[in-house]
Formats: sequence, C-alpha cells, structure tokens
Amino acid sequence: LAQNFSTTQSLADPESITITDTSTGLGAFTSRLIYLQKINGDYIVPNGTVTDFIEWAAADSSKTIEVLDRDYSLLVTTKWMNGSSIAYTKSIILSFTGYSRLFLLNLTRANAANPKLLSNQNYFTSKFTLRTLVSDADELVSLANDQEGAQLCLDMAYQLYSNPQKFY
Amino acid sequence: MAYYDIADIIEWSKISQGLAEVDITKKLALGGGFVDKDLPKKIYLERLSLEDLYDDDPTSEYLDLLGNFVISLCPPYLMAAQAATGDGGSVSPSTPTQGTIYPFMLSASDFTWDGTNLAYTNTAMDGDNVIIFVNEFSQQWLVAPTYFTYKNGGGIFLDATYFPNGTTPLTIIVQKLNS
Repeated sequence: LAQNFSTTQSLADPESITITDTSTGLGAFTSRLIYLQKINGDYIVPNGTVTDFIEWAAADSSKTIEVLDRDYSLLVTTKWMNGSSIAYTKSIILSFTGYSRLFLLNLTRANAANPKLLSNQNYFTSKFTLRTLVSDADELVSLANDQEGAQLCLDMAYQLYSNPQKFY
Repeated sequence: MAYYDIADIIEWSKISQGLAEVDITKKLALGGGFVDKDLPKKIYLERLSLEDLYDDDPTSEYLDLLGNFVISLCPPYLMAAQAATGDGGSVSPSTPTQGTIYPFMLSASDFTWDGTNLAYTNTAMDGDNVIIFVNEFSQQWLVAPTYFTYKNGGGIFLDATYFPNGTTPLTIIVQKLNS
C-alpha cells in the first residue's frame, strides 16, 4: 500500500502541470483534492477557483492544471477522499522550473543562430547564473527538502528571465 | 539535419566538457596561449538546454539545430569523446586497383600454350596501347611476318607458326604507349 503521485511540466506549456496518480494498492476513494501551497502559505489555484484546492476525479488517473504564472517551489499535497473523509494524503515539495528552462532553451536557440553570443561575457554570465539557479532550486528540494531556499533561487531566476533586455 | 543522434551528442558533450576542463587546466598551468576558460561551462550550459528539449519533446523541430550547435562547441575533444564511448569512427584503407606497371619484361616461360597460340594472359593490360620489343627490337623493325598479336583485351599472343609449343627462347619488353 502506497499513496503517491508524480508531476510533469511541459516546456511547450510551462503554465500547466500534470499530476499522475502512481499509488499502488489503495482502498476505496471517491475523489482527490490537490493543494498547491507557496512558501508564504498561500495556495495557488486556476482562475475562477474559489477553494484552496483543485478537484481531481477519482476516475481520472491524471490531472492537468493550468495554474502557474511563473516558476514556483510548491508544497504539493494530494488528498484521496472517501466521501468527506480523508482516506490518504501525500505531500511533496517540488520545484517547477519550466519558465526558466524554456527561457534558457530560447537563449540556446538564439545562440545556435548566432554563436558569437556566447562570447558576450554579460550574456554568458547571466545565462550561466540562470541555469545554476534552476539547478539549485531542483536540488534544494530533492536533496534538502528546502522549499524556502528553492523559492529564493526561483525568485532570482525570475528576475533574470523576466528582464531579458537588462541581462542579455 | 543533425548528422549524429541527439543522445550521442549529449554523451559526447558530457565527456568533452570534462576533457576541456582538464586540458584548460594544464594549459593554464603552463601559462601558454589563448585559452577559453569558460568553454567547459559553455558546453555544459548548452548541453543542458539540449537535454531539456530532448526530454521534453524528442521530436522537436529544434533538436537538430541545437544538437549541431552543441557539437560545434566540442572540438577538439570530440573525437576523444567518441572514442571513449566506443562510437569513434574508423577509416578502412582503400585498396587501390593496381594497373600494369610499364615497361615490363617477359620471357618464354611467361607464355602458356592454349592449344592454338602461346598466350601471355594479363587482363590488367586491357585498354592500354603498348609497343612490344622482341629481343630488343621493336616489332615494327622486324621484317614481315608479324609474330605477335596484341589483343586489346586479354594479353599478348604469339603466332604459333613461328613459336611452336612455347619452347622458343625469347625476351620481350612491353612498353606503354601514351599517345
């Protein structure tokens, strides 16, 4: 018996995350609830949602949620509900770095078209810093379960990809 | 299109990155020449973007562009990286077609009796124009009849009327005529 889930985020659509139920041997449940909690305690939900959670039908093995407006390190909690009771719960801290990685990818496309860009020290330093911050955010949660540190890295990364004219 | 598989490029760039790091460290220690100290970081940086895209969409139309770009950063370490992964290419030596080397000398023992003629068989001569010197005389200097037949295909044939059974001792020099 193990309740569990995994998440994916596509570079083609970093706004969305897909959560897949990877549980084995669970008993009966009637629905699932997903909570995406930021480090400040706020929950993020899709536009128009009035609850802190997102509903996930029991019949669906996965759920795609269009919810991210930037990169976040989130405490993702899934609750398997049996009626109004919580049958199982599982929480994982995850860094969602799709926006940064998409930005890096677009920079690399620009590099490929204009290899001289890599010789621009300002450009190279900023790009390398952004890549390091993404890596840091991933590793802080995967190795140290440190959502706060990861979010700090992603906040710095946000500055680097949301102000391209300043850094590249 | 990318000449190599993206998965191969990713592996080679990982190795090239490390080889570049070692090489640059040695060069800096020796204080010599122009060195791009950031090259390993550049390879690393671009390889990660390539990996991101490859993981996200292995059929992306941009993979070839990025793959070619990443591999362009790897020389002069690329061949060593390919060799390290067992993917290094090899060049099979070509086997040249050996034509006939002129001039060459024949004696009676080089001819065999084919039942009708004495024949020196050498298809490598096919297509060559040759001049034949019998006992150091050009055939053109000998009085008629002509003792030899050179067939442009197969070799040289002696007229059996004059050289029966291949027993006649003789020396023949064959030279190529390049006109």
